Amino acid sequence: MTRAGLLLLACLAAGCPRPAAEPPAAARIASVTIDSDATLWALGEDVRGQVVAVSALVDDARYSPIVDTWPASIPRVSGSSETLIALRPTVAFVAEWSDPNGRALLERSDIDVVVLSGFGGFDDYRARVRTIAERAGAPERGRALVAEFDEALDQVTSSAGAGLSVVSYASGNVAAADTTFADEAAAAGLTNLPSTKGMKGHVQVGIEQLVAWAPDVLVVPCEDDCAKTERDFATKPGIAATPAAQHDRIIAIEPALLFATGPRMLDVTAALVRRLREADP
Amino acid sequence: MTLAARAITLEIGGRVLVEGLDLSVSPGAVTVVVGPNGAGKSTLLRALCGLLPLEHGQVTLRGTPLSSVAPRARARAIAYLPQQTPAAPGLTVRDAVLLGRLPHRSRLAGPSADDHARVGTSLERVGMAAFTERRLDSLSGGERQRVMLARMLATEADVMVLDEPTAALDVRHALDLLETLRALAREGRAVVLALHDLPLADAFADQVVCLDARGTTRVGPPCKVLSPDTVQAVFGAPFDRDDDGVLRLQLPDGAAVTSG
Amino acid sequence: MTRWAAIVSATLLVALWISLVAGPGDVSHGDVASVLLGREVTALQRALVWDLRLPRSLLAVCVGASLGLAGALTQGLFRNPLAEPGVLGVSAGAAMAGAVGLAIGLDAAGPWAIPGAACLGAIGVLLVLMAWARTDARTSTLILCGVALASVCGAVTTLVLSVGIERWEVGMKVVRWLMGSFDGRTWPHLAIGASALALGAALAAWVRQDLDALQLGSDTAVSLGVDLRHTWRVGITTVGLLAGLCTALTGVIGFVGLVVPHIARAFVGTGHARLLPASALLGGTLLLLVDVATRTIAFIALPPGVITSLLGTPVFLVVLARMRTEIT
Repeated sequence: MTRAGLLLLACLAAGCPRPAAEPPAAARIASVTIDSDATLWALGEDVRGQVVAVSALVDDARYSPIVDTWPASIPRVSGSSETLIALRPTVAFVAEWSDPNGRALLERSDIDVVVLSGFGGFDDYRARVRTIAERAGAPERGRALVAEFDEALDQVTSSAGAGLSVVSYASGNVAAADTTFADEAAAAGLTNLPSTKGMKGHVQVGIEQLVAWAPDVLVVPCEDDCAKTERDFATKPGIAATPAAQHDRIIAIEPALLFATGPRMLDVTAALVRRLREADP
Repeated sequence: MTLAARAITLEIGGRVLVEGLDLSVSPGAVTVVVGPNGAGKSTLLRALCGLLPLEHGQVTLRGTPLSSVAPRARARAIAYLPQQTPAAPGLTVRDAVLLGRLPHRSRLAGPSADDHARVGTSLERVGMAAFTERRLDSLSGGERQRVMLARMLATEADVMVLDEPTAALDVRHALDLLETLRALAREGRAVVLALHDLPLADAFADQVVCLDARGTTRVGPPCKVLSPDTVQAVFGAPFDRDDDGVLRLQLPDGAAVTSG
Repeated sequence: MTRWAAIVSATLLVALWISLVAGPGDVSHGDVASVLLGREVTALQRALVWDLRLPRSLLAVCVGASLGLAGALTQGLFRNPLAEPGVLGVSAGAAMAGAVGLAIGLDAAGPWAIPGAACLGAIGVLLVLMAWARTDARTSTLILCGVALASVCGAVTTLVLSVGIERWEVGMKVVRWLMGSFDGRTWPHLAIGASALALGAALAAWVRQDLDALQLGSDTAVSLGVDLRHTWRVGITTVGLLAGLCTALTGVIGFVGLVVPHIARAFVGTGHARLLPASALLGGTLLLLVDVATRTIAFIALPPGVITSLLGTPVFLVVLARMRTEIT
């Protein structure tokens, strides 16, 4: 269930591609994922004007990168399909974990339901942006957004972590291949240990296994105070013996950032690079 | 005078079962409590054992009010057998009888050699020594009752209180049990038991307590308490006494039943 | 008895050794011996064996022993072979109290706040059961009462969880609390588990004669000098303490308390002087074996309660079928 929780978090901010139909002119767009909320905003004035609803959590700083960005006049909708249908959207961006009954209801109401799925890394993000842009009738804006992302990626990409192994450990799960963290770590030059063990997605792993891997870098989500989380982890029984703890390379990152699915993924890479340089100038 | 009740009144749910009863139970004597169903035989026995808090009157043990005797001391003096004992699956005869020694042990002590010896003699006394290692739930009703009697003997109490111990037994086993109880009384114990069989009560009692379901109690020797008139009034059944004074049930066709 | 105890103890020691050697990382038999004897090993080997595996395994033994003890105590108190903290909803009460405590932020009050709440939850359920058992001691009534209490506790827990969906961090805390695990449990946890077991064992020893007497029914027990209220008070507190702290340490682990006393009774009889320690010994061994199995065989770290429930449910049903005639 921990994994489901992580997925939930990843999902509170996400979306994925599907072959696009013809982009409808001047659609009424409803967005029920934070990821599409953010992407729709980033697509510019024309697209924003078509949005009739954004997700309920869009102003929640714990999950959303665009708090208080959408005007208050745009309704915030939660899972209730009824409220959503009342807004008479023509397109709805929902997530793969959205309630299937609700989704079916939307489809029966002649709403073009776009299911966003795949939150595994940079490529998934690019594909999602393209899908959303196409459905919003602004494919060229989507391409521009992806280009912006790639440019930013070039800037943060570093070899700071070369030769070092890393594990991201949150609530008993490690981020293996096909996760945002795998790409973030790779961009920082790090080797993501769980990926090298053939694991995929978020995998539950015991502390014993974690210690036995002896990672050089350990990434954890901050609890209340990031510095305290790092200190606490460094003295945890077992963890204390890992190279990560002994070389001051336990890195705590804000959960909202660590589990980001949009452009803020690059902030994780930047944070990793910065910390690696500090620890080993 | 080992155990005495003074002016005790027993009520259940507002109904008076026993009113102002005075009763003395002496060593060497068998006291039998009789009465129709629901007259309060079990309640009276529980009160005599100190298992029931009394609102009116008191029960004394060698002069001391029972309510101020410590539970273990009370348990060493009065052994009690309820009408029904639960199945206790898996309990062996030895362990069941050993329970009779509990009032003699401190909380954390295990059974001593003396305890085991007394279990042996108690079982021998009731003729159940051969069953020591058997499981209680594998025995017949009569055998179980004898084991329970051995459990009471192991306590070495001066007073033994038994609630209808013959209820589930056939005549032979009932007679055996009552003979044993009378013998135990003659050795110096005070024995109190409830019986529903009037001729048996009449035959074995030194003292009879007759409850009538309306609060009135009659206490005295069986020949006085269990007169045909009283029995007719209390039980609504026709009894008479034959030439030898034996209590008999008169059937409508004129036949007489002395015990059953 | 002695031979039986020797076999179980030997199994326990072998399982303990396996638990120290088996698992991820480069640790040989010799390395384990070196760690235990305080000889030179790598920091990582020492961390694996001394900081992680040894306290975790000893905790599994303590929790298993506590559950076995709690089960035997509950069965004795209620004179009911199907009574057990898990079956009677006592663990559910502990889990609920802990979940509610987490939801209202009680965990900020200190490390003992949530385990304390769990103990109170367990004792609360026991008090209701006790009130019930006084008026109607039939097996079926007691079990039904336990089922009802467990479902009430489950409903409250679900309520907490559904609130937790709105507040993700709280939800995660509650979920982790409910699932429980031996993972990451180390010396401080063991200290709690061992003290609970020691205290529970002492209290159990105090009432063991009373439980023996209760086998013949409460009337006979009282006539033998047992102070029933005292027995109930001590017994309920002990079971609440054991079940509450076990739930706090490792989540709800069902059926150990049910199955273990039954097996123990078959070997040592019904006398609690032997039944209680035998249930503790067997419970500790069983849960350690379960933990070794989940650590070394399963691909992911399964919560221990999942395994015990999978193993325990069939045994529960067999016991139920055997005593079908007794249940009304």
